[in-house]
Formats: sequence, structure tokens, C-alpha cells
Amino acid sequence: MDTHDSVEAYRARLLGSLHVVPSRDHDEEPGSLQIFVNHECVGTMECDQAGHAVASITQARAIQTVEIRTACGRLIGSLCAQDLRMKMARLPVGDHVIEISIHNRVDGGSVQVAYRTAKPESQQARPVVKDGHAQASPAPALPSRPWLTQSVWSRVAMAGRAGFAIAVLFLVVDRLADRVGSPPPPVPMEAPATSISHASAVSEKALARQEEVLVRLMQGQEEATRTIQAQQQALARGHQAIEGLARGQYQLTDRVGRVSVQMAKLDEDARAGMDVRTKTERGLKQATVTLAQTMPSDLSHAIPAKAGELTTLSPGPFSGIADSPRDLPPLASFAFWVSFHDNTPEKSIQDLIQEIHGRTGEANAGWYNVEVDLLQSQTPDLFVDALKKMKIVKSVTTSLKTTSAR
Amino acid sequence: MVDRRDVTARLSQLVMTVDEYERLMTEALPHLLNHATTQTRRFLRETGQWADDVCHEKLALRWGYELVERFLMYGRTEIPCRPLFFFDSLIAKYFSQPEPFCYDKELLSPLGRFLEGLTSRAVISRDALMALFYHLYGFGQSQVAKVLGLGTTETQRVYKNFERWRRNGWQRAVDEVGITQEDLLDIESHKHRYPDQFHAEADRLSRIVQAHYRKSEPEHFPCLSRQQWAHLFKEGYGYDYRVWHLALCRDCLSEVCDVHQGDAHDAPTPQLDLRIRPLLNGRLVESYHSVDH
Repeated sequence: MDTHDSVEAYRARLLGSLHVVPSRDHDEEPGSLQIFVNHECVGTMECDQAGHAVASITQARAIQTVEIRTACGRLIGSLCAQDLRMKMARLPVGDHVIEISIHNRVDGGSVQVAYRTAKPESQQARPVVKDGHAQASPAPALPSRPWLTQSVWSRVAMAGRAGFAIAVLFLVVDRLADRVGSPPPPVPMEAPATSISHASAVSEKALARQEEVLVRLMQGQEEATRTIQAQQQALARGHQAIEGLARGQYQLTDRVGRVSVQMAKLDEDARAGMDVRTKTERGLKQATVTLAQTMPSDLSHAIPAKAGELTTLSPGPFSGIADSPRDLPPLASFAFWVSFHDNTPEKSIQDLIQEIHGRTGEANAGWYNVEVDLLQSQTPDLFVDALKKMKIVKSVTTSLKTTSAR
Repeated sequence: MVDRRDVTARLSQLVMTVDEYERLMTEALPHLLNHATTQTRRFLRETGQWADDVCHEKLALRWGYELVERFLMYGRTEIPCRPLFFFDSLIAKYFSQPEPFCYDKELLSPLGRFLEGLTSRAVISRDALMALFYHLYGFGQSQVAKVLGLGTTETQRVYKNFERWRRNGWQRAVDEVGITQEDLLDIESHKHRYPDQFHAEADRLSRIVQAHYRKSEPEHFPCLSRQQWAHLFKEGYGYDYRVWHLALCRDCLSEVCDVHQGDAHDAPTPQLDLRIRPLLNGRLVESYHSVDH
């Protein structure tokens, strides 16, 4: 195959592919459609036979071309909107239609592509376009239902056109009749035949303009409706948000009330706890004092600092037999007899008696009669035991005649 | 000659209905293809990218074909119009874009034309886009789904893409790009005889082609960092972005595969392993192709 043949074969193949184009969009299931804006793929739209799909694209640049391609790359629909603000097209694809709507603004453009089932009468229809310049191109009369033949539709279309022409003529004649009845215009009138044709052309142009205006109006109305619906939805969402907020506030107030009650209760409990603590501390102090009384004097230094603090109310070094605290009322006095080891200096004896805040009575054969005041928690036995453990004490007894300790 | 002038005259006249337009287009297709090819040839000459050889003639034909394909579809929504004027405006608009074609002298070899044709097809065809993963890296459907982190529904679509591509997509793409059976045999022979040289050339050319066609993505689709890719896959968004970008950017694909391997997803490694023909039920399309021709 030489060069020329090779190129010719390739050209023939390409022409064959192009010949398939007009009919191929009707026999292929679209599946996943790709949307190209200004020759760039901006997304895909999943389409099935049953339902319909809609895609909206907004861009910062003006939209000049929109192409719809199948997953295998076949171009099945496109719309060109060069220098136009708004343009719409409805393109048949099998038993579905693709509606492309382009809307260009100063700050960019938006495209809406809808894929939906075609109405029966529009399944065989040709593309319909509405834009800002050209008027809608009317679809030629084609059979839309199988039981109607082409000729029937042609006749219907002919009748429709004839009716439209009669209506236009009637309007023109009516306008002319008005003009005849009115004062003559400043410019000379043309011949009747020329005037009628001219008026007819003018009327057609006016009708086209009105149709164009109506199309724009319809598009504007649709836009406004969409905006209103969006605003209503936003308003509904706002109401829901406010209701939610009010509900939340009510719940918050309720919780705050409950927390206040709990706080008051806790406060009450805390006060009760404080009372209990005070009482416990008091009892603890008394127990500590009692414990200290039971300890020998040489172990007094081993009393922990905390216990020492608790017994600071005792003035003397013999903490077990201290002055009664101001808040602890003393008991009745306790009298006993005490004897000391031999050679114990009188001073040591007096010191001890002074230390235990004793009041000395008479002395008898080395026995000293001493009287002390005991606290509530102190018992005479404990006091005697503690006293017996003192170094200089030889013996302690409550009665000289009957009992002798040690 | 008379017919040609007649067609030109009719194409310059106002067409009022879609039927009239389609009838005229069917008759005027050869003329339209010639017209678009001539315009393309002229553009290439004026930009210093032309040479009188088969490759350039085929290139002009191919781009002319793409312009005619677009015109046929656009024109249906431009009625009433003068078709030839509208066609010229479309051509002028297309050529006024920055770098309208992927032209590089190195891409005029059979391998370059194959890679360029395949990638240009991937820009307009989802099937070809998915097939790129197979032709460049040898990934199967499941591997593509794994790399792209697709769900069940999207994975099913990948299987459909592969199936359509095997059935007729590859053949149609090869035909429309102008790759002949001789070209395919030449590429395969080169691959077999000089594997290292072939691999190096394929690597260089595929990078040129991918860099050009990646521009056709939307502007908000740049390359992402490793962290951004990891976040995108973790949060599960940007499916279109994954497919579009990763098929056309080997560096990002390597990053993503690396991220997947770090997450122990058993992801394949994207190393260039050029496959010329798709698999057809376990065998190559070669036999299928030879039956057709």
C-alpha cells in the first residue's frame, strides 16, 4: 500500500465513522454520560432507562460549548452558546431527551443538563432550541405515533400553517381597516398589494419578537420560581433551626434548675458533713488526749506532730494529765495516795504534783494524799496506771488501809 | 468539480430546518472533511509544524474529522444558519485556543501515535480512561478499583468500561486514530527486539502526552501532596478527580499506590509496562483484529 492509498483508506474509514453519526444516538444505551464544558470534562451523570438525572455546573468563565458524550466517547449532544446570555436545547436520544440549558452572566456561567424520558409525542422530534438571538426552530411534522402515517401529519401541519396564515391575514386586514378609518398618515400609502405583504412581513417579525420575549419571560419565570422555592426551603430550614434552638434553650433551663436544686442539696449535705466533721474532730481530740494519758511520759516525744497539735491545750510536759480544755468540762475530783522511791528529792515530788495539777493533802508514812480533777474521758484507773509509770513514783493507791498498788 | 461547487454553494446558503440540515450534511460530508483537513493543514503550516509526509496528512485528517464530528452535532442546534459560515467559526474558535493539538515530532512514530491517540481518546471516553491503567501499567479491573479506592457500584462500572473497551472501543479508537495493522506489528516487533530501548522511549513519550492532555482537566484539579491524597482516600471523596488525574499523572499515581501500600491495602506498583492490545477472554485482540481486516 503506497502513501496515497494509505491516506485514502484512512479518509474512507473516517468518513464511514461520520456517516454513522446522525443515527447512532438513537440505538445506544447512554449509561454514564460525560459532560464537557468548553472542551473540558467537568463530571459524569449516571443515567438509566427508567429514571432521569440532572446535573448542574457553575463556572467562573463564560460557557461557550457544552458537549455530552457517552462512556465510549461518542458525542450524542452539544450546544454552542457563543456570545449569548442564555440558551436552551432539547435533544432526543433514543426514547429519552437531553435538555441542556446554558446561562451566562458577567461573573461566569452555569449549565444544567437533564436526562429524562421523552414524552410520546416528542420521541421522534428533532432538536428544539431557544436562545437569545434565533427564534425557536419548529420541528418538522414527523410521525409521533405509529398508527398515524406521514401523510396525515403532513396534512395536519399544512392545515395548521394555513390556519396560522389566515389568522395573520385577518389581523393585517383588521389593522388596515383601522388605518382606513383613521386620518391619513403623513407619508403616502403604498399600493394595497405591497402594503399587505409589507404588513404581513412586519407582523411576522413582530410575532417573532413577541415569541422571543415570551421565551425569555418564561425562562425568567422559571428562574424566579426556582429562586422562590429555594428561598422557601431556606426559610423552612431556618424555622427548623429556630425551633431546635428554642427546644435546646428550654432543655438547658430545665437542666440549670435541676442543677440548682442539686447544688442546694449538696450545700445542705456539706453543712451536715461539716457538723459531723466538727463533732468527729472533737471526739478525735478527746480520744487523742485519752490516748496521750495512757502513754508513759518518756514516750511523749514519740507522739506524732499531729497528735501533739491536738494536745497543745495541755500546759504541762505530762500531756496525759493536762489542764482541762476550755471547751471540755472537768469531772469531779479524784483523790488518791502516792508514795515515792527513797531518796526522791522533795522538789521532784512537788514538781510532779504541780505537773498533774494536784492538790496535796496530809502526808502519812511516806504516802502523800493528792487530789486531781479528771476529764470526762479520763478514768481513775487509767490515771493511776499512767501515774505509776512515772520514774519517781513507787506506789499509788486510793485507800491506805485496804489497797496497795504495785 | 461541478458537484463540489454546488455543495459549497448550498453549504453557504441559509438552512431553515433540521431535516434540510441533515440531508445536506449527509451529501456534504466528504467536502466538510476536506474543508476541515485543509484548514488544519494550513494551521500546521502557519505554525511551522507541517511536513509533506503520510504522518502529517493523517494528522490533519484526524483533527479535521474531530472538527467535523463536533460541527455535525453543534449545527443541529444552530438552525437556522449558514452551515459553512458556522463551521468556519467553529474551526477558527478551536484553533484560537492555546495548543489546540498535541503536536510533537517525536509523537509521529508508530509508538508515539499510538500513545497520543490512546490518551486523546481517554480525554473524551471513560472506557479509554480506565483502559489507560491497563495499557500503561498492566492493571486489571480489580487492581484499578483498588488503586482508585472505588466502592461496589463504581467497581461494577469499571468492569463495564473494560468490557466495552475490549469489545469494540479499542478497535474503534485505533481505527479513528489511524493506526494500521502494520503500525501495531511494528510497535510489537520493536518491543520484542529492543525491550530496554522500547521501555525508555515509551516512558518519555507517555510523559509528554500525559502532560499535554492533563491540561484538559478542570483548573481545580492540580497535583496533590501525599498528605492530601491520603486525606482524600480516608474521607472518601473526589471520585471523579481520582479517576481523571491518576490516569494521566504517573507521579501522583505512585504517591497513591505508596499510600495504599502503607495502609496494607495490597496495592500494585505503577511501573510502565506498555500493553498494545487489550485482552479478549484470555487472548489478545490480535486474532479479532485480523478477522476484521
